[in-house]
Parts: sequence; structure tokens; C-alpha cells
Amino acid sequence: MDRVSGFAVTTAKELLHRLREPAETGVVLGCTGAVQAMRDFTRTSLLAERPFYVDPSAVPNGVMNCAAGQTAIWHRLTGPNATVATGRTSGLSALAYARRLLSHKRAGAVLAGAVEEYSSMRAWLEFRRDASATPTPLGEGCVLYLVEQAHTASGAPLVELLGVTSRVHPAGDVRSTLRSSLREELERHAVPPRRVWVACPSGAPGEHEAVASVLGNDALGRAPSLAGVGETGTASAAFQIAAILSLAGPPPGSVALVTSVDPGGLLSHALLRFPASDAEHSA
Amino acid sequence: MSGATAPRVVVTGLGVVSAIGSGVAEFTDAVRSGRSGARPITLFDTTGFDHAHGCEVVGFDAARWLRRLSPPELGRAAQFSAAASRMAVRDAELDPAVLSGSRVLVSVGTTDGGSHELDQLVAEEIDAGPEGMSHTLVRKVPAIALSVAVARELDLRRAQATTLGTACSAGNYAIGEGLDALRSGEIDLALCGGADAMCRRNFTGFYRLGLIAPSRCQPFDANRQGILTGEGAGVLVLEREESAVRRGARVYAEVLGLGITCDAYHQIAPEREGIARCMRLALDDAGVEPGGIDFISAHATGTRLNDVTESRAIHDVFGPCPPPTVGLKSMLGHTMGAASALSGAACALAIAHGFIPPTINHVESDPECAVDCVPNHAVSTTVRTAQSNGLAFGGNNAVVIFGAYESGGE
Repeated sequence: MDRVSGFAVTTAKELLHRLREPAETGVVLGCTGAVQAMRDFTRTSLLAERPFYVDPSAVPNGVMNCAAGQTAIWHRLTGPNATVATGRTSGLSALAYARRLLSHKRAGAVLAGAVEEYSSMRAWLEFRRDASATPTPLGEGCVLYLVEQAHTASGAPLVELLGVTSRVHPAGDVRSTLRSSLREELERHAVPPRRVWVACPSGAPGEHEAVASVLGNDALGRAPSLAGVGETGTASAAFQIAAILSLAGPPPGSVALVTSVDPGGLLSHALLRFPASDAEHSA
Repeated sequence: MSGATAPRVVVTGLGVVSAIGSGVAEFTDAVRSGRSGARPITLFDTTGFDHAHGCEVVGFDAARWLRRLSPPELGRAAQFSAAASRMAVRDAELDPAVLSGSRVLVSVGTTDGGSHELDQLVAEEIDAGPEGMSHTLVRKVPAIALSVAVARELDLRRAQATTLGTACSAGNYAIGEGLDALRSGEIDLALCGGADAMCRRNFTGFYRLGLIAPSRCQPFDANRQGILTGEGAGVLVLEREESAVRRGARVYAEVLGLGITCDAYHQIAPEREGIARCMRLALDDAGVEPGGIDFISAHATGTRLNDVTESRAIHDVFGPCPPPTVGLKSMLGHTMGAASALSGAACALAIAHGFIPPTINHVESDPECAVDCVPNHAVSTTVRTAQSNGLAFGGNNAVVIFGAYESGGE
């Protein structure tokens, strides 16, 4: 098994005890594949005595949906199985997709999240994409959430997903696109800016300013640090949510915002609401 | 929200890039007349392979279609998705200014994303070391470009965009995502489909597995020898019935239902039970009995295993006399993430124009498959419903059902 699939399969294992109906459980994984494996395969083909003297067992690993498929195979999860490939925003796209599956009753529960691996080829591609960018140590890993509808949840909710959406930003205009999209989203869910207790941006140029212009600086001041896990690429937005959930003492019923920007042209954000009170915890 | 109570969703525009024709008119003519896209591959150096035919899009000029984006900014697959989307929007006669401010979902399925460019980077690395990999190519690799390019080309200011990486059924996943988002009312319009560009890595993988046919793809034929890899894009404009009626749009077909399952069985081999369950879910969602399906556009790759497994699953659901079951890959090759999008486009056209497309290259039917594959020549007939099957590595099945649109009907 390749590294990306290994991360996803073992992360999913942590949630298996919560699943009531594996047959109705979907998997929605943010994954852009294993670029090292892809590079190695093509390189071998180009350099070998014959172009097809390549490792046949590596063929399925070169496809983006390998990790989601392996997760299903290892844990016998026969519900919908999807792979979303929206770069750094993938963890949020996975939540949006999972939510649609649930609301249309295509799955009873969904394991949703994102995965990324460290590799030399990934590091080179990051560096060659924009050599002028401040180098950030690259990280890797997988984060999965058990996503269920509130009325059928298997346990007390950690957080409620109010809304998640994405926008394509015209080149170089993250700030105004994010600002207008955030305002629209807060209005749609009737969340006044002061109700947002914490905001966690992904660190792209223009992103922090856009969030500050809508929410002020208090919520941003509570943003958890993700420096410890490094730049986790496709898994980064999923790690942002995990970091938000690790914070101590969110006021009951307050809201968290996660924003994510991919340099490829997409931005995304999610509004999450902490449980209203202890009473609701046990409900 | 199930199909029975949800708002109706219709197909009002189509965009196609394929080896047998680009644009709706060319594609309709090609599918109906049974044109073959097979030819020797020229996109990459095939020296050393014993055989290397494929269904390449020859002479594609993105500049002919694109208005806002410059083709050199885009990778080959993103050129396909952006061009097909521009065609689809024109075909739907959507007002560009209205579209720009609408809530649009762009969902593009793919197997390989920017792998065509990644292959070129690997060649650059061999020549000049990793420092020699060019910035412009690096930026074309991420699969996100396939959906972002669509939104940028059409200046969609309120678009949500997704690239779905569910390999060879990704086109149906994208159509399904559009269907659900329209049913729930969260968007006004969906541009969904799939795109892929041929590349060395993909071809070499299938070749090494012994799945590439020497010169032609023959689904359901007793002597079928495998797939031919192909490329292209299919994009469908989906909207709710009320908006199509309000703007007086021409409706090709209605999207009746979707099924999605995972075999959870094998990375490469398809599984009969998972496929059958997927078809049943789609029929349930569509509110159509198996006997009500007029033809199936099967996944039908032309490999020994796929065609026999899929046929058995079809028999499990449809009984001993299933509806005509055709393999479009005989004409188009296996266009990977675009495959079920092109199949969806063909189903919508078959319904609109009254024909069942043929399975070409057919010589001798395989009794193990036991389907009427509409050999070599299209059949002119009224088509009320069509089922489009998409299967993929990882056991990712997705089935979409289309129906003739009748206003106020059902």
C-alpha cells in the first residue's frame, strides 16, 4: 500500500467503532494522489530498456482515488466513495460533498476529510511553482471526520456544520473575493460577525486582511497555530478544522470560521457552530 | 431529497471535445454514424511499445473556443474542460452577463488531472535535474485547474468549483453533484462533466496490465482485446425545470436519477454485486422500473473482465432480456474522467434525436455477455429513458439515468 492510502486507511480505523452501518457509510476524501509514485512510474518508463518495464502493482497507486478506494476495501465501507481534488481547500470541499450525500440520503454517515504525503517530488514541485515564496516546512498526514445528520447522530456532536462554500478567485484578487463571499455566507446563516469566536485562515496573501475586514481581529487572535504540522497541502484545511476543535473553552453556541486559499485559483470557507449547551451534549 | 419529490432537473446545453468530433453537431453525427476515433498515438513518443493506438483529439485548437483565457496558460485537460464549457454555455444560449452573476456549480471529474504535463516535467527532470522543471508546467499539474479554468473562462463570479478525482466514473459523480445541488436549491445552474488528456503514464499503466487492445476497442465482442485510451471532455448544462421554462430553453433531456456505490472489494477488478446495487439505487432515485429503461450506455471498456462482470450485473437487475446495451468506448476510446460525461451527453442526444448509438467494431457476440450491443449501426427509435453506467478503479460506481422531458408530465 502506498503512503497516502496507508494514512487514510489507518485514520479511518479510529472511527470504525462509531459506525452503525458500514454498508451505508460513505467516504469522501480530499486527495490529489501520490505525486512521487506518479513521477517514479513515468521516469521508469522513460529510462527502462522497454517503456513498459514498469511495476504493475504501482498502477492503481497512480490514480487519485486510490486512497479512498483502499479505505473502503479495508473497512468494507460500501456507501458512496468520492475523491475531491481541490488542492489546499480539499478538506472543505469534502465536507460540502459529504453534506450533500447526507441531505439526499445517499449515505447514512460519511467519513470525510483529506490526506497528504511528504515526498521529494512534492517538495520540488512546491519549490519550482513559486521559488520566490517563503519556504515553509512541508508536512503530511490525514484528518477524517465522522459526519452525520444531527437527528441521526451516533453520539454528541463536536460541532455543527452551518455552511461551507467555495469561490474561484480571479488571479491576484483573493481579498475582495473572500470578503464578499464571507459577508454573503454570514448573512445567509444569520450569524452576526461578533458571534464568530475564532477564525482560522490558511495563511495565503490577502486572506488575513479579508477576514479581519469582516470580523475584526479578536476571532483571528484566537486562531490556533498550525506551525507544528507544517504545510500539509491537500490536508491543510482538514488540519485547520482539527486545530479549531482542539481549542479549549469555546463559548456555547459560538461560531468558528475556517478559510482556505489554493494558489490554483480556489478559495473556500466553512462556518461551524459549537454545541449550544451541556444539555444539548447529552441530547 | 429523493427524485420523487425534488424539483425536476434538465439538460439544456452540451459541450464536447472528443476524437470523433467536437461541438454538439459533429458529436451527434459521429455517435449516430458510428465513427471511430482510433489511430496511432502521436501525443507522446511510443517507441518501444508493440502497439500504441488510441483515440487522440487531433488538431484541437483551444483558441477556436476560448474567449477569455489564453490556451498556453492552461494544461491540455484544462483546455478541454474550458473549451467544452464554453461550447455548452453557447449551446444552452445562456446570457453571459446573467451567467456571470448566477450561483453556478462547476464540477469536473478527472482521472489524471494535469498528468499530461507531469509527464513532461519528468522528462525535463531527466534532462536537466529537478531544477530544470519549468514553472509554467508545474502550475498546470494540479487537478484543481480543470474546474477553475471553467469558472475563469466564463467569468463566473459566484461559482463554487470542484474537481472530482474519482477516476473513470468521475464524470457521473460530477453530473450527480450537479443534480443534488440543483434539487436542494443551493445553486441556479450546474456545469458538470469530465475531462482528461492522454498521457504516457496512463497508457503505460494499462499497457503493463495487458489491458490495451492492439488497434480497436470491441466491447461485448467474443474476441475483444482490451481498451484504447482516449481523451476529451464532456460538459452538461443542468438547471431546474422552472428556470429552463422561464427562459424558453431547449431541453435535451431530464436527469431522472443517480446511484453511487463502492464495491469495497478490489482496487482494479469490478464486482458484480456493487455494480448491480448501484444500478438499483439509480433506478429507485429515478422512479423508473428496470423494464422502463430503453437502452444502457454501459461502461463497457472492452476488457475481458469488465464486460462480462458488467453484463452479469445488468442481467441481475434487468433479468434475462435487458434493454439494448451499447459501448461508446468502441468509438471514443476510454476517455477516463470524461468517459461518463461523454456517455451522458450521448444519452441526452439519443433521447432528443430518437436513436440508440451503436457499438462499433463488432464481429462476434460474446455469449458470456449476452447483451444486444446494437452492433455497428445505430437504431432509429423513440428513446424515453437511457441509463449511463460509470465504473472505476477503487470500485467507484456511479450510474445516471436520463429521460425524455415532457412539460408537466409524470
